[in-house]
Amino acid sequence: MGRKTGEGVPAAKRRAPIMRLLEFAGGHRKLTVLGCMLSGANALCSIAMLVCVWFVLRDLVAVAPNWSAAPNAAGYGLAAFAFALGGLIVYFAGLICTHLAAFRAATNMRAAALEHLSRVPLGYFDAHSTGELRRVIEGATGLTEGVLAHRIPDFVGALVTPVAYLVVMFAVDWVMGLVCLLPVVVSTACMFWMMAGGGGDENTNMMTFMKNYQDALDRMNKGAVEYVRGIPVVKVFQQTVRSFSTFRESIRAYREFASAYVRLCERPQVAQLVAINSTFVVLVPAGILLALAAGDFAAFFSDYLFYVVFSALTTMMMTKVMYASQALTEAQDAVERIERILEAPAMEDADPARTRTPVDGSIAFDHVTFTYPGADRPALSDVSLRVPAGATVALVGPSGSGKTTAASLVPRFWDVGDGAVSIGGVDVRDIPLADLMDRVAFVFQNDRLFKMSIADNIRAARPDATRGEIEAAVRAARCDDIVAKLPRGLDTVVGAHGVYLSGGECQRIALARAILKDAPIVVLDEATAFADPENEALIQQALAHLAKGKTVLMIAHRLSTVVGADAIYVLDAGRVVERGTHAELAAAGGLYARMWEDYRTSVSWKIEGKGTGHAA
Amino acid sequence: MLRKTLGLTEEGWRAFRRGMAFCAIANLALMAPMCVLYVLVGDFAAHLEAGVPLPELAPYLVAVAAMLALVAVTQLLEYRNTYGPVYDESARKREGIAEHLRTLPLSFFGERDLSDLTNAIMKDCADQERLFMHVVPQLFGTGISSIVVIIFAIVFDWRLGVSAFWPIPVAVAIMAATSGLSNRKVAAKEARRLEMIDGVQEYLDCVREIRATNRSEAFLDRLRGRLSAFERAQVASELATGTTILSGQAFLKLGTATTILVGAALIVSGDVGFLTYFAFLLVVTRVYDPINVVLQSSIELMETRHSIRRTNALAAERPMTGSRDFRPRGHDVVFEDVSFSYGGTDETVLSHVSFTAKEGEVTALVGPSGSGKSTCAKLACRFWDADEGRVSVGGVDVSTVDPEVLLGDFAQVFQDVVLFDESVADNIRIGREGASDEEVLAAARAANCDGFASLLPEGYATKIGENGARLSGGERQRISIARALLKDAPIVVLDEATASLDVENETEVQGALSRLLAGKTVIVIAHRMRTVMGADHVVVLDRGRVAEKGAPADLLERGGLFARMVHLQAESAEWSLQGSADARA
Repeated sequence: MGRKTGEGVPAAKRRAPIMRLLEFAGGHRKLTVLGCMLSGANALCSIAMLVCVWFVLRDLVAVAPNWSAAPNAAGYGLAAFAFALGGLIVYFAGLICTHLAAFRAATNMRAAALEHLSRVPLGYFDAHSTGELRRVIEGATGLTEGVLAHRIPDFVGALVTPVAYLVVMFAVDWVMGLVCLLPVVVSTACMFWMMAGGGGDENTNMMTFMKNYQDALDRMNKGAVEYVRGIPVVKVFQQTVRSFSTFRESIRAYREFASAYVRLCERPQVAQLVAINSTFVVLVPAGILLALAAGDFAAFFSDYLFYVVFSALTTMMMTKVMYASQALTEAQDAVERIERILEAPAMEDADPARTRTPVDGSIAFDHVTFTYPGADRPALSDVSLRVPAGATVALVGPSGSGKTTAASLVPRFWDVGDGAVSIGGVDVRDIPLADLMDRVAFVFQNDRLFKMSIADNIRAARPDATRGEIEAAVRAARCDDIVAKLPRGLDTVVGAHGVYLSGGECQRIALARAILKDAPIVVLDEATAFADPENEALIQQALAHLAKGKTVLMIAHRLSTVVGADAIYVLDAGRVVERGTHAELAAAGGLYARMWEDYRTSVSWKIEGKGTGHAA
Repeated sequence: MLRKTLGLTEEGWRAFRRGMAFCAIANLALMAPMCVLYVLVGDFAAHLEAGVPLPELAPYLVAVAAMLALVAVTQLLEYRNTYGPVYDESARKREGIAEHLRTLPLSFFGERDLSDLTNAIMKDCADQERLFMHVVPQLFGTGISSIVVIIFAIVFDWRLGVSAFWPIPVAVAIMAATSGLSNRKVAAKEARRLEMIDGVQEYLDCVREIRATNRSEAFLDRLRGRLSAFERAQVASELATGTTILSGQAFLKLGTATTILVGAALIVSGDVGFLTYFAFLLVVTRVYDPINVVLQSSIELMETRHSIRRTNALAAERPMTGSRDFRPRGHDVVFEDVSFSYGGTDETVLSHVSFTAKEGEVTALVGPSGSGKSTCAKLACRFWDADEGRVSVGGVDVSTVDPEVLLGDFAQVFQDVVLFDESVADNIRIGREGASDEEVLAAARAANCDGFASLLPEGYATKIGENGARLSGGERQRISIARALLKDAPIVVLDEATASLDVENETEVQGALSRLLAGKTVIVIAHRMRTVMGADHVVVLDRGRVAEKGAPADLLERGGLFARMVHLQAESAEWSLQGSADARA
């Protein structure tokens, strides 16, 4: 035994984040490639337009100083416009392609994460707040869109430019070409300098820094949630300043971190900005020196004008490269967050080779031990219990004794560490999950309703149920009064237009759902919070209806509820300490007897007013 | 005005203006090297035209060095005045919002999902941080420098100036005209996005129920539908926005063509010289990109205006104020003809409620759920102000008292206990700041916290995780009771559901509660009828009205709503789920 839920498979990844991102785009990957090609075409158009401008100047220099003899520049003007317009259209088409791919990638990432979450053990949601998961699914994937849709094509365009640039420049004059390349080299060097964190030191490198920065950000966000949640409490206790100081510290820590980052990048970034704008530094002296050496000055001059016009490109090109590399760092972080979700170990469905069909509705725990991940002591140790088909068995015990944990092992919200939980003689891990869920109806302490109509909420348990059956379940669960007061009866959508149900009412609808399901096994976690007397009475009637003729495993919080159970198991600190019927246990003088005595005392407790107070 | 629109603080506004100015200066400084090139080309042209000797290298080297220094210094100044201050400003803004939040009435927090509220605030701050780092200073700075360049160009030669810049107003007009379409698409996309997030949140919240009802596939299908709908809306919005921007940009580029054409005509007719023409060609190859940046940034600014508006709306929320001088005579809590409905709804929660909770007595509020019990308790401590009538403590109308001062006289034990990621002891100490360790421990012991605290690895010094994640419901409530014991305020408001813990702890906690209540003005929101039998006074609420009031024994005799609830619950308490043996019998 002792099978474990699948270990996190360290996928054969650690490839470039871009490739990992692109994989999510599926068939749309081709569009990214096409988009990048179009972006490259746009870069060529930009160059062509500048060439047109240069042609105008060259023709002029050729007739200098007799300007009036200049040939008609109309052709160049129109060609320049055509290239500019063509470039834009191509660029736009390219962007549409990359956007299609990026949106698809984001959709697929979200779908993959959600699908995976439908397979992880439920306990995963205890360790990860739904808000946090939602933010990763919503936000992180959003961030990657910017990269796939804009930065990659821009980057490709920016890479095409220097290649074309080199070809054209070296074709005109290789010395000037080399000279103009100098600022590009310097700015690239600055970029690497910045990636290395300004110092090139291991500890200050960009990735480490980004991670620490992200952590500071997370701490601040967490601090904010705690602060705001705490405001009502600290106001009640007049301690607003105190709780504020923690949050303020996290805000300031974040600011310090961000400012340190700004300072760290100051020199490399300014150096890069200066470099990409400093073509003139080489252009001016080189021009003068080459002019002095030039044999044919007119030819040199017209070539020289080419470089003057083209120096504009250097700036544009390097700016795009700079943004692309920044965005890549962010995207990597985003991809990793999604992958962390996808790597959470999934629950394995039953192996078809071992699948068997339960013979009846009995439930058995055989030497079950279970420890929550990260906990230092087991929540259940060596628990064995038996619920014969058709019997009602109750679990009682102090809070933290493991009652709820035991119940959650039946539907495989968690899998046991050691031992086995079985239904009708079959290990629950050998029953296909869908089948298992069909056999068991669950009623939780605080059932939530879906944002659907009441009818659909009830129907969730059995999608093929007729309207008549739903209405019958509503009556059986004593929900008639709830439905009657809703504006559209059974078709009222819960959670919309201010339609909210109280906790007690939600539980009654959940009971109707369980009644409609009519599963042979019922696992029931009794509500601890007191509903008002009316709700409470109705809940009990519904429970009685639900349990009739079923195998019932009940977690009881009020001992009176279990007096009539066939067997009661008393749990304490994760172990079964006693078992028997109410009468047997009450007479045995153990933990149950003490709890029963306490219970009798507590229900007769009264709030002592003036009269009773004086008497005491 | 603009400061308000941008949602900046005073310091932020000053820093922003500096950033904007330095951005404009840095942009203009980038034009200076062009002037050197212009002069050099002028020298070359003169050499070509008139055989003037070629220029000396040295003065140009000096000029180049000077320009390089100018560019470097202005870039550095721009960097320092935009990036750095942004983080200072967003820290100020976050602190400012946090400061403001804690002055808001408790009702503000009651009406909202707190973690959503917080996330929205933090996200808005982050969005604005980015906006003020990468978008706004550049928008205004580049806008200013572009205008300067355009003015110079037109003054230099108005004909070429016009032919280079005429498309700008047209492009702006086109973009403005088509922005309606893209705004609609963007709005549609936002709506689909919210639907998607809503679906994801519901799926995550209800994951247990979904699994238990075997509905994972159905829910995933529904979600996939929403994901695809969002994707389609994204594509539509991108196409619309893209078309808007593209048409504007395409028009801008027309300027290059007209400059070439007009310039060529002018130079042939001798109206402009080669150098002027050259200068304009140089300008048109460089000026449209920054203008594009301005146009795009302004669209981005438009998109972020929702975020700024939300932040501004929050800042405009009015704090609840009142006199800090609160001198009640005794601690009777009196409701006189109080009516109340929650803001924004016309559903009356309380109508004409009158009763008195006397000092030294226990007053129990009972009634079906939704009858207004909790609302009464919250009006007493001024979470909200009554719409009509008067709530007073010791003869002082609570609506005239500063809420925090008023709350000093109240101790509350409510169902939802908020805990901090601090030690157990510090969480209890919230009850009274500066309480000694002995006092904290005494309160903890009285509330029966010893049992669970001793099991924690570091006892009372153990940190309890985010919102006390490591503690059970019963443990949380015992901490809440310990806080109230430590505070020892003259008025106690108690939600009795607190007392319904699990069997083992119930009796112990009840003992602690009895100690807490002795001699105080006690208002109990009661759920169990039997517990209130010992109260001095019972107020029975039904649909916001006082149905009955009086001593419990009298009410029981009267046979009204109270009596019916008592009987109903007596039956419930004896109810038991029957085993199969009995079923067969």
